[in-house]
Amino acid sequence: MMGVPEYTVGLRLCIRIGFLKILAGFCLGLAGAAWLAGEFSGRQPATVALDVGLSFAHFAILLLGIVFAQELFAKEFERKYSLITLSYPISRRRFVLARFAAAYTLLIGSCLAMALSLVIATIFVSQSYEQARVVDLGLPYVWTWCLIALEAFFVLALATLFACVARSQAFVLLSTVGLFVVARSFSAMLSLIEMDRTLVEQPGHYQVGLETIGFLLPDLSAIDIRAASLYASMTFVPENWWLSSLSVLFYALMLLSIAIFIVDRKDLI
Amino acid sequence: MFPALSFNKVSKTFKVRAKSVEALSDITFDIHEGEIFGLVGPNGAGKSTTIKIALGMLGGYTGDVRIYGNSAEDSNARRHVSYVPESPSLYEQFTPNELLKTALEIHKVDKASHARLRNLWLERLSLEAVASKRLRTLSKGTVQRVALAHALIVSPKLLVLDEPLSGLDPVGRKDVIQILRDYKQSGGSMLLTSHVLYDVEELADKFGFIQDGVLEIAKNPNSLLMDVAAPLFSVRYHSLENLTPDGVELRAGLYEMTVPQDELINFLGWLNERQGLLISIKPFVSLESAFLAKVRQA
Repeated sequence: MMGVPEYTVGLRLCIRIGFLKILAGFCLGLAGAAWLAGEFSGRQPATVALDVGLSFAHFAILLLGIVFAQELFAKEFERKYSLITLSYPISRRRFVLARFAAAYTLLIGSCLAMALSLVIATIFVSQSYEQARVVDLGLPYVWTWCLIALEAFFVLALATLFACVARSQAFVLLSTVGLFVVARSFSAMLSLIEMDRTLVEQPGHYQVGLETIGFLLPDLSAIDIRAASLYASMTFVPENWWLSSLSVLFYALMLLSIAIFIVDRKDLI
Repeated sequence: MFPALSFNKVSKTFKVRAKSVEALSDITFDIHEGEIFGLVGPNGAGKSTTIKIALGMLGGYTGDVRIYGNSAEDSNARRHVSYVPESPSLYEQFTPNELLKTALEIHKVDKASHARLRNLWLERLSLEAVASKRLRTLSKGTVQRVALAHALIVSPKLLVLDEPLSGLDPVGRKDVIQILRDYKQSGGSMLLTSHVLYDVEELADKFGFIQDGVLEIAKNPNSLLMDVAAPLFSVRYHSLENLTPDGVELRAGLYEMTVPQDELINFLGWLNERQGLLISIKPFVSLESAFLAKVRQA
C-alpha cells in the first residue's frame, strides 16, 4: 500500500493538518485525565484511571476519524481538488480505498500511541495504592484496543460516507457524532426500558423505535470489552461480543461500499 | 491509428430546477496526434462540460468518447493525459516540489528520472525559488504555473487546458504560450478552451466554436466567417464633417464605418473625392454573429 501514490497523498494530507500535534495533545490529555481521575478515587485508582482513559480514547478516535474524512473527502470535493485528482489515471474506487487506508493507518497509529500513554498513566497511578483487584494490562487490554480499532474502522467508514455526500463539513461532524452516540447508547436504553418498564410512558413505543435502530446501526457498546481489563475478569464483558464485532465489521464494509458507489457516480460540476 | 481524443455524437443534458437544459448537442470532433484543437465559445457555452466528459468527470451522456481508442470512462485511458483546469485548485498544504513528485508517481514515470524532471520543470517555469514553499503562500499566477508544470512534467500525449491564459499577466501569457508552442513542436496533442478567440488563434491547428452546446468545426476562424457571409471591413477616416449617416463618430473628426468587401474600392474612391483622410482598414470579425448565422443555416 505504501507504494500507492494516492495512499501516500492521503497520509501526507492528514499529517499536514497537524496530526502529530493533535495526537500528542490527545495522548497528554488522555494520560492527564486518567491520572486526575485515579487521584480522585480512594480505593480503585488504577481501575478508574483506566476506565476514564478508555472513554477519552473512544472520543478522541471519533474526532480523529471525522477530521480525516473531512480532509480527505469533503474538502476534496468542496474545494474542487478533485478536478485534478480524478483526472489522474486511477479509478475512483482506488481513490476512495487508498485514502481510507491512509486515514485508517493513522487511526491505528493513534490507537497504539494512546494505548501506550494509558498504560504508563495507569501504572503510575497504581503505584500510589495497591488495589484488592488489580487491572489487567495484558491480553484483555490488547483485545480492548483491538475492538477500539474496529470501532475506529466503523467511525471512519461512516464519516467517509457523509464526507462523500456532504455539501458542508459541519454536516460530516454532526451526522457522524449523532449516529455514533446513537450506536453507542441504544442498546443500553433498550436494556433499561426492559428492566424497568415504569421509566417512560408507553415503553412499548420506545422499545419498537430502539429495536428498529438496532437494524440500521451496529451496537457499538457490545464491542466495548473494557471490563475484562478493568476487573481482570470476563464476567462483565457483553455476551457475544465477537458476534457483535462481526456485525460492526459488516456495517462498516457496507458503509464503505456505499461511499465508493456514490463517488463512482459523482458528477464533478 | 486512433485519434488522441474523439467525440462521436455526444449529447449531455443537465437538470436545473426540474428543467432539462441541453449542455451539449450531438458534438462530434477528433483531435489527431500532434494536433491542437482550440475550443472557443462564450462562458456557459459547453466548453468545460466537453472537457469534463473527456476526462471521465461527468457521466450520463449519450454518444461515444474515446481517448486513444479507449473509452473515456475507463481511468486507464487517462494514462498519458494531463489536465489544467481553469483557476486550478491544488493542495495548498503541498509544495510545488511535492505536487510534481505526486504527478510523476501517479503517472508511473521511471523513478530514476524524477529529480531531473522536477528540476527541469521548476526551472522552465521559474519556480525554483518557491519549490519548497506551501502553495497557500503563492500568488495566483504562480499557482497557475505550478499547475502547468504539474501537467507537463509527465510528458503527456494529450494535454487538456481549460482557459489556460485567463488571469495571467502579459509576461506570464507570453511564457505560457511559448511553453505550449514547445509542447506542440514536440508532437503533443492538445485540447485548449477559451472564451477569447485571440488566445487560441496563436496555437490551434483546428477550431471549434461552441455556443449553447452546438459545435461548429473550422480549419481556421476566418473560414467560418467566409462561409457565412461576405467579409466586412472596418474603415476609419478623418473628415471635417460627417460624410455619410452610416459613419459613427468615435471622437471629434474621427469616423468609423463597416463596409462589405465588394464595396470597399468604391468606398475608398468616394472618400478620396470628398477629401476624407483614410486612417485604417481592418477586417471586421464578429465571431459570435458568424457562428450564430452558421448555426441558423444548419
